[in-house]
Amino acid sequence: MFSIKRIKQLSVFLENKEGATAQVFNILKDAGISVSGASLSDTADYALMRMLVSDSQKAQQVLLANGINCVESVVIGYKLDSLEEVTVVLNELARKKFSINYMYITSLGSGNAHYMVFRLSETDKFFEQAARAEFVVEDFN
Amino acid sequence: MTKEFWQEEIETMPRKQLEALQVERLKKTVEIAMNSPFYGPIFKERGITPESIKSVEDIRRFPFTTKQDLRDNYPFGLASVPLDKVVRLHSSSGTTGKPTVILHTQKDIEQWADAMARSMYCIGLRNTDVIQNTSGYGMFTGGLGIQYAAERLGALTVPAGAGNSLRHLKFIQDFGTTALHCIPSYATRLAAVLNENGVDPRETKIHTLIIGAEPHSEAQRKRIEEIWGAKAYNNFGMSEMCGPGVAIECKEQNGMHIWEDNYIVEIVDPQTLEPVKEGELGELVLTTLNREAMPLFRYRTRDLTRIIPGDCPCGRSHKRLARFQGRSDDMMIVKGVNIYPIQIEKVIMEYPELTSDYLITLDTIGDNDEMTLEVELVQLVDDYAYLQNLNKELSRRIKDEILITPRIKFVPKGSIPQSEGKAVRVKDNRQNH
Ligand SMILES: [Zn+2]
Repeated sequence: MFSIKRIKQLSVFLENKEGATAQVFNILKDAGISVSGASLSDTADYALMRMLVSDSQKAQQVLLANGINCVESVVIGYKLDSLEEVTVVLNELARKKFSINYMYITSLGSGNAHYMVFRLSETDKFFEQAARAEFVVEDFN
Repeated sequence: MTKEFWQEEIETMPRKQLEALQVERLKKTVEIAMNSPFYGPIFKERGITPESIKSVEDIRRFPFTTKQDLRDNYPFGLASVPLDKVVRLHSSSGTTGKPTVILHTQKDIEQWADAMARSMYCIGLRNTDVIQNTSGYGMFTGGLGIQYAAERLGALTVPAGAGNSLRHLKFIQDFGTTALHCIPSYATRLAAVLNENGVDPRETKIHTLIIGAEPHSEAQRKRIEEIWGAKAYNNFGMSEMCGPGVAIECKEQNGMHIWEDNYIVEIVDPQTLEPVKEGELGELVLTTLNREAMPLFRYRTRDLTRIIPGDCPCGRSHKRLARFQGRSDDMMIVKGVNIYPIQIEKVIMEYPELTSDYLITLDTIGDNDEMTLEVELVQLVDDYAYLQNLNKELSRRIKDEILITPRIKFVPKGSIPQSEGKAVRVKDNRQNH
């Protein structure tokens, strides 16, 4: 059975300056928020760091209060039994004409299972189709 | 055919003749001001006498006068006539330091009323109009200045004064008010009060609004005209020059004619104090030509504007001032270029993705000036390409405007303190500044 998670992800706007990433983690830690996944690609003047956190709403509040811009968006998590599955999923998404904005692989949850996390241009359409195909869709957070 | 001008001969006077009139009046004004404890010694030192004035260019022999001079010589140090000839004074509140005082003789009051009546006539107001004034009747010149001018015009004048919008509404209805004098923000607020009370501002008899004394954009004017179903004309005055009645937009609504029979107009670079090229932005400097209690020479208004080149189709020969672009005190020099925050503000306003708040930070990196511009995203978007495009486009647009490429920083909405003042909009961390 396919296991699909609906994940509330935080995108954090980072300036290209020393310690900017550390600052975000420190603020979250001080607020008692745990981070279960993060993705940061190379940055020019600034970057968007995508994060999976225990309390997305609270995380937003504390970051904004510290003048750090962030926004919550819904992304899709797909549980991987093996890394070969990534190719399968990508092919399937391409066949269904979904375009991927970005993706990363992270471990999630208590069992430390690997998840492929991605954002599509048409997330709602994806969840509709998943429901029709009788996939199990669960909210992660 | 209806008459278009209050004083056709003066308003349409050929430039050459107008300049000759200016020279004649400048001589007269020098003669009066020689008696002032402030200007007397300056004139003596510089050899400025009525006879030595040959052309308008001679104005450059005069030193500039600043608001600080008015403060330092408070209250009567700039009086050019004995106090028994002075019939009124207006004073600034002095919220930022010592107050200032402006003195008027009987003739000054009449000349002022006449100039503002001319401005009213210029925008189509006649003695058949009912003009309601929402300015305070006190030390602020917008009260009495408008009152005397509207009476001079022969209009029925309603000295309603500041505040109490419900009373304004009642007067508008009871007296059939056709014209309103107000600051732009109050035009919007009063319209809202009318609406709240079931009165559509467009259904009133008001056909004209005289707006001024507060910076506003063309978009704001359009909005005011729409909600009132009336024409709104930008009016410029400052108490140092008399009050309202210095310049007004004609029906073309393309720049304010400044009454040059009353003032010599200069636009100077706020840094070098040299005249800018015609049509370029700079600080407005005015010399009074028709005042006797307290003439002022080359008074630095601190207002940034430019002269709109060319002739106005309305037939008036007096120069036109463009909408004011902020204050000269706001000017920064970055990489040798004069920059005003308003230039950046204008670009930011074009982007609905951004709020109107911003912060400019200037740093020295190596030997160079660096500018960082913080802008507030209404909503951060989880899309790197989108942010990158917005960043690139914004910095390109700003470079077009100020010739310098700023580093753009997107910050959360509400994180930049809201303020009108330069202190908060510009943070200058540069060495030697
Ligand atoms: Zn005109």
